[in-house]
Amino acid sequence: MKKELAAACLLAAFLAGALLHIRYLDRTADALCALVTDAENAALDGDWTRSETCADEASALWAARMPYLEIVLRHPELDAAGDALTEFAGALTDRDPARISGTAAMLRNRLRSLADMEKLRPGSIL
Amino acid sequence: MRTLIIYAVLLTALRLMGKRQLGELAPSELVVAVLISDLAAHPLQDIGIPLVYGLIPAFTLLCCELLLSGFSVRSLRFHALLAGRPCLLIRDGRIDQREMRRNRFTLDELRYELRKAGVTDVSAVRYAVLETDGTVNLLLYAEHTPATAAQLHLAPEPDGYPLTILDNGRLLRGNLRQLGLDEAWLDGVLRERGVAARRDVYYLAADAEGHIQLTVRDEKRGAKR
Repeated sequence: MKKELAAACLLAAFLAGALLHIRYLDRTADALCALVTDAENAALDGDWTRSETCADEASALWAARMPYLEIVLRHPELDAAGDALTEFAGALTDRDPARISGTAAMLRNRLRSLADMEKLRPGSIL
Repeated sequence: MRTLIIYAVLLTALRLMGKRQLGELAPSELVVAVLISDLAAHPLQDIGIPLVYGLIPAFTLLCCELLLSGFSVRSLRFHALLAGRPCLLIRDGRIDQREMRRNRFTLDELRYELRKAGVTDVSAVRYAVLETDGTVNLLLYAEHTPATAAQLHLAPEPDGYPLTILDNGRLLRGNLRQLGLDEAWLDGVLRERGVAARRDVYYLAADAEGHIQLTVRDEKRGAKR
């Protein structure tokens, strides 16, 4: 009986952990996407200082979340999102409005997919 | 490092699943064993896959298996649902063809099982039971089974369960205590059998009835019992 109880508790802990993980990833992706959007809008308005501040905040948040993300997500997907962030930051540094919207959209897409693929929905389960 | 972690986890998982799993796998146990080994292999092959992708599913399967086997013990109906029921391939010396078809058991396979048990005549078999783990057990008619001591009205000396006392010269004190014996008894036995020291013994076992099995190391003397 003890073994079964321990197994049930462990399963419940896994389920709770998975739900917390999904929520955490969703919030992280939301926060990063919001910073990227702010940086993009500021850049398109010509406010480069604010744009770079938002991009730096996004980079700092990404770096802070990395130790956890490396443990729980596939590294190729993290690398793809990291590359997209670098490319977006490069477009801001170059002050190239033509590239900014494209790289921002790609980065948001990568960040959202990191969170979405972990969600409990038919698409990600099946 | 990953390999060591996976190895330790799998070893723990198999240990938790119990001894039965290693020898005879029921359907659910087979599924778990196959899936766990496959899940564990992926993070080892690809360093880009986090270790938790192998560990969490492996533990989830282990927990499910523990829960299912726990329910199986408590409910016969659930056990039958999970593992199936034993069925009779031979009943009263006649092959049950319906059961053979239902279990997709061929005549060749049945004859192989009979030969394995040293039986050549189907009519000598009262029951052939196809167990849930796929093995076939034969119950022969009484006239075809070897006579037991009770049937022959014999009273053989009782046989106890032998416990190892000396293994390659090492003393297993727990077993000695379990038999209610002590080291003085052991030294007496060795002296009596002409063994100079414990380290000269390859194997020494004793049972509660006082039977002793002794094998001296090859380099000291030929094996004796």
